Amino acid sequence: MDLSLNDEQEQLLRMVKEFAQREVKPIAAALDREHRYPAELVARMAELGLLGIEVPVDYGGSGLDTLAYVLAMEEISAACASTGVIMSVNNSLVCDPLMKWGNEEQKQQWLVPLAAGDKLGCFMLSEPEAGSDAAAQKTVAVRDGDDYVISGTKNWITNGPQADTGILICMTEPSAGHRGISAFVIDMNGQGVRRGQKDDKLGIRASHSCQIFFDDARVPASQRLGEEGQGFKVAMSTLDCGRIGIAAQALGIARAAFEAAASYACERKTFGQRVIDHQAVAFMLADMDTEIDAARLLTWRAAAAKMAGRRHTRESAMCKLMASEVANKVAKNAIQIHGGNGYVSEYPVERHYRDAKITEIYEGTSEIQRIVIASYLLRG
Amino acid sequence: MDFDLDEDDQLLRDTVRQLCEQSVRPHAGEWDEARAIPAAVRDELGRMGLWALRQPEDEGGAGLSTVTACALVEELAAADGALAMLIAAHNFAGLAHVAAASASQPALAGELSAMASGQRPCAWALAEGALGSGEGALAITATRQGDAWALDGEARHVLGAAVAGRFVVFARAEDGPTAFLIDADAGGLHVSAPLRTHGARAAGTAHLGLQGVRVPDERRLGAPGRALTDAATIVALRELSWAAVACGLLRGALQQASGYAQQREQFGRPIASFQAIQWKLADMATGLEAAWLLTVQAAWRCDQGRPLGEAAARARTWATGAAVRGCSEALQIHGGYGYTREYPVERALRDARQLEATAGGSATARSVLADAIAERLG
Repeated sequence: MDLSLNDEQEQLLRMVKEFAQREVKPIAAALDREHRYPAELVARMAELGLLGIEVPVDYGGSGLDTLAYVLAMEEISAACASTGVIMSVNNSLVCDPLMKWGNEEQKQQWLVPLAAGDKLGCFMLSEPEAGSDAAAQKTVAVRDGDDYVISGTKNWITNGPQADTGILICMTEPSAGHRGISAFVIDMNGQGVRRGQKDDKLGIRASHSCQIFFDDARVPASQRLGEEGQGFKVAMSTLDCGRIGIAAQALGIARAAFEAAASYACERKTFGQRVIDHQAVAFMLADMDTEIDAARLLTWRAAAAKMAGRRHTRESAMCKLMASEVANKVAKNAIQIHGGNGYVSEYPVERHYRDAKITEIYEGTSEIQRIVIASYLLRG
Repeated sequence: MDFDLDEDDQLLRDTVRQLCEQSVRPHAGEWDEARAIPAAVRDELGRMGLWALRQPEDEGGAGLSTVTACALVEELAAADGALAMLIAAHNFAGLAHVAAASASQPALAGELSAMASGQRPCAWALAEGALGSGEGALAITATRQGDAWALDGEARHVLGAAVAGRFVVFARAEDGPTAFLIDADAGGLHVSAPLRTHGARAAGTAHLGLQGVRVPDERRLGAPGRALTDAATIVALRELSWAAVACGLLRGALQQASGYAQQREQFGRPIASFQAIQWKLADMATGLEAAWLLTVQAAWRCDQGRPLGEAAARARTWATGAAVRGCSEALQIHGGYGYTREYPVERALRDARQLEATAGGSATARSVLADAIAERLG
């Protein structure tokens, strides 16, 4: 047992904390207000090596471990959850499956520029009529000689408006259910790939998502990731990693809301004493502090399992479930502690509240996480 | 970053698990009804070092880290909460306090090795509220008489008092709050009959009455007037051990509930196939793992010599809360059967309530955290 961070992790944490506090946090409210994609921050994250944290140096990445990624995600998301998810998608949902499932040629062509931050990635699984139920999707890739011809629509694709490269999960044999799904790496500027209007969302408004339309897009078979029929496995193993990143994003949001509430409660006076000196508020803050710590430990534990090369489906589901629910509860209470001030956008907590909600939905809803966790319990 | 127990410790835990399966779990219900744990069982646990978990081996202890000690307490609690609380309070409060004092009082060394057998555990009799309200909450007075002291007064709700061989008591002396180690057979000491408690019924909670109990000065623990300061460290250790007990209770209840849910059929299918049941199980499991990680974190910090207070407070509030909620859901999943003493979940729920409500209650731990937050972010 060893719960300490190593030097490399400490060093990265210091660097990211400074970047997040100095460059990200000051503009987060404006980004949210203006729905503006933070191209300048994404460029800085590329310089700092934050877009391919776990990718080996030989493939353009930073060659760090999952815990380093988790630490960085919490810091960036505490400053701006939108910037956090832009980073998370590129790391977990694009670089990760390319590392795990890509062949050497695919890694050289697609992974290297993504990990270096020269290009940006997106992950395309959800559809208008298929979110959690991946086997119900309708986008189809039909084999035609050395190519596949792809048609269909993908929904709510984070980084969709900006992405250069995408990981696509779709059917190659619609009648075969889960076993008929395959994964592809897609040039988002290629023929037959079209982007819809950016979505108007409750939160994470500086991260843009949109529909992606495939109009008989012709993609060489060399862009298939893994074997035909392995796509469901690619998607699920990718989400096992992605959920750790989203848990860390939720932790960042929760921590920012908690710290704002605690500071406010120490300054603001009611009935002649500081708000924190009222026990009802003090205990609320104590529980927020405890639950954030618990969620962080679950997240670090999932990261440790991944680093040890163990299957971590259950650990990932647990950390994502708890961290996202804690973020929502903490952000809600943070507004309550701020009273009327919490409800106006002059204070940051209403943004944290709106940003927190998505963490209970994307990369597997809380309901899906509970199904996963229960399935492990009932396996005997 | 590594959250796993070391291999040796896992083996040790497995041994304790076997012992619990054979000698504890099958009888825990009887002991609960009888409101006592047989001396033979306490002896058997003593031979495995469970009454001196963290004492160095050359002092007759098992020489375990705090992390491993917590893992064993958790294991015991999965079989019997009352027994686990008795062992936790002895190791993490009574014995820990005497061990800390012995560093500057070598005369106490002999007491420590005698306490390691567990034949008669050491109960820790700090009045609830003493840390918050100061010595005013202490209902025992100590008067110096030459090279000894005379103690008068009472200590209420002392867990393990009915079976204890020794007590750590806190008294108001001329210099302020002062702690003493007294023997159960000391003249003038009266232990009440075990109280009729809601949970932890076999742990022998009772009141102490002291009338002119004479204690030699060499059995004073720590400097006169410093007892409540010294006790703060012990309270944090006890919070930690309470968290470990809560984890075990919850794990036991979760295992029983998931087993039951797979056997019990309603509407023609096992109730485990209903999402409403799966949801409860998933939440219990997540709450349990969070509780265990908070416990392990606090224990690890203790082993590293880092400050324990906040980490222990987090572990205690979360773990005991999760145990009460989880054991209650486990009972619910068992339906009418869960409400009877035929199944062990109702006992686990009563034991969990003991953890949440007594020994300062979770409110004390929340106050510790709130003060720390105001310090950190104010």
